[in-house]
Amino acid sequence: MIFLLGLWGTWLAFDRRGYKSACAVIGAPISILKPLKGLEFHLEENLERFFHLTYPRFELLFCVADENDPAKFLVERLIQKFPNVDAKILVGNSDSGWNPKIQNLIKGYQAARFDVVLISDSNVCIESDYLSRLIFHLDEEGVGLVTSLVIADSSSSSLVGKLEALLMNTYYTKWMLIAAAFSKPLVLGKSMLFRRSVFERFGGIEKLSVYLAEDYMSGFAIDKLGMKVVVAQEPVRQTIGKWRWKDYWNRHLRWGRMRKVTAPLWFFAEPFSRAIPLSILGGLGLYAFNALSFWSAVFSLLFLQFSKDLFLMKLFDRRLNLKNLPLLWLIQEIVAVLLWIHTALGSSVLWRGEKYHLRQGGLLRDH
Amino acid sequence: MFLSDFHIHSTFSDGKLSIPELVDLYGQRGFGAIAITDHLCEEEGFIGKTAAYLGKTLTRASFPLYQEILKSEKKRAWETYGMLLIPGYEVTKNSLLNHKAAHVVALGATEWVSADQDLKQIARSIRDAGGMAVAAHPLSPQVWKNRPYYLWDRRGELKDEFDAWEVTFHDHLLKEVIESDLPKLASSDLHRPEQIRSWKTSFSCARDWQKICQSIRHQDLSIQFYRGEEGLDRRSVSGRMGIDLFTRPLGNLARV
Repeated sequence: MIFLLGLWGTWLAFDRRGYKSACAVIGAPISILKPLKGLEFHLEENLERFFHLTYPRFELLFCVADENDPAKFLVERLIQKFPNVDAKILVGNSDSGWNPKIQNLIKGYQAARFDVVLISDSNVCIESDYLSRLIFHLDEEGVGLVTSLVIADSSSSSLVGKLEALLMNTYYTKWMLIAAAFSKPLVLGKSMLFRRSVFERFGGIEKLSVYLAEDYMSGFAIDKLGMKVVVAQEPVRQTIGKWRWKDYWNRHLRWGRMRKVTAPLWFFAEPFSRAIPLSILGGLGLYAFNALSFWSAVFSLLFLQFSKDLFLMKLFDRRLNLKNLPLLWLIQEIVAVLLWIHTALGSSVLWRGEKYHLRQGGLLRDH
Repeated sequence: MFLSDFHIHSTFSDGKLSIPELVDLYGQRGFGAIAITDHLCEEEGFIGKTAAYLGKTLTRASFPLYQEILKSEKKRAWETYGMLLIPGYEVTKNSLLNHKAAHVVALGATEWVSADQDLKQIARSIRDAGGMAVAAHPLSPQVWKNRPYYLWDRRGELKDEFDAWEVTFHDHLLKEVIESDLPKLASSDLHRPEQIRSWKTSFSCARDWQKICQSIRHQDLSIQFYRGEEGLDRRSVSGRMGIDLFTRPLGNLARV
């Protein structure tokens, strides 16, 4: 059944291919909040794309916590380069709660002039009509939050970068679409579009500062208000630099431990959604029914799952380099199982150099 | 005079409607005061942990957001319907053994009170937090359903710890509680919208939390069966709300 669910997720992704939602050319003005910390890979190119947005009215609010953050100086250059774009830098950190991203964003949220707000991470790479396509979803009845699929750029030169792209573009994409199809969409903090008047109904983003997964809790709060979270049809792209193993491991350990405390039932079923455990289980089943020998069954199922993921990868990246891809895929699946075991054995996470101990529900400390 | 319902569940625990939907459900029917009282289960027991995993209880993580939404909906309920929304929750001690289960409505409380305590401690903590402790459905007339008897079995020692005792279990009137000398309150324990058809408490005081507290303490209230929008019984006196006046006010009933 899990294999069939995965197939369905692949179909959902295929069904969205080339979808172009209607452009709401005349939409509500939008305040875009960009939390920044340090000079990430491709930061200047990614940020400059926001200065080329074709949306009629928006403002850019770049948030940095530290006065000496090098990202601040980069943004100052961009603002000088594009004086006709309404953009400013806000410096400082709130002492509300413990989530560093939210602490950085609060000043931007409070300074935002418009009711419609977009939180957009620094490593997001967008097209010039991004806002037009996003606002279309927010105007649907009962929608409280619009998030986006994130497709990773797989052209990274590092092995770990390629593994990251593989994981994002297959596993995460599939399950995000499946969750959305069951009306339980997962919110990705990389792209969150909402109305501030709606967020204020649960106290605004300041109230999210006590949680590690502020994106998940945003979706939770919107759901409890009786409103919908929508996954936008068009994905956004995430640029991946030269990742190290430590970056990859810590990031997915953090995400996995967040899932463990926010959705524990799903977390403990997760290993069976990965190719290797699923193939072994399936192999045992087929062998028990004398359908195939055990190893034939396992390799057949592995091949089927690789094919499914290959289809997904090609769907999002037509220039995908197939060289070494089967080996990369296998490495990613083996690492996923080891990562799950490590995730299950602890509850602390490392984020932006700080260690946090997670409480139940994703609380950073007991509230 | 206004109708009230002080035991209602939302999607924050095992209710079917969101808090805004509940405000609209009751506000559009002319209720004067309601309390949202989602389950707050034990954190240490197996049943409580299961409820948390299944999203059927308030948790320490969801509690702050719950309070914030209650705050904003309280404002909307007043501005839109002139209805008072009272925050609260239902401290839930569940057990497979009926005589160990007990539910306590914390009416007007906004601070977390742990369900992993003795009932006396729970009631005192609720009162210390500025709320009223209400013994929720201390009996149940249904034979096979889980019956939280723990409160009724200990009523002698608990009577001074609780501000009121529910005389209802959904649409059933609990004769034993009605005939007791304990302070009484009627609420629906609504989980689904159709359960709005049930016993309710009416007040003649102002729609103000302190005045309502006083009315409960002095038992200056009456209990009526709300039939919803199905039309009026010939005994009905109020066309707008479709109330079926089943009995005289409670004070008189107690003397019958």
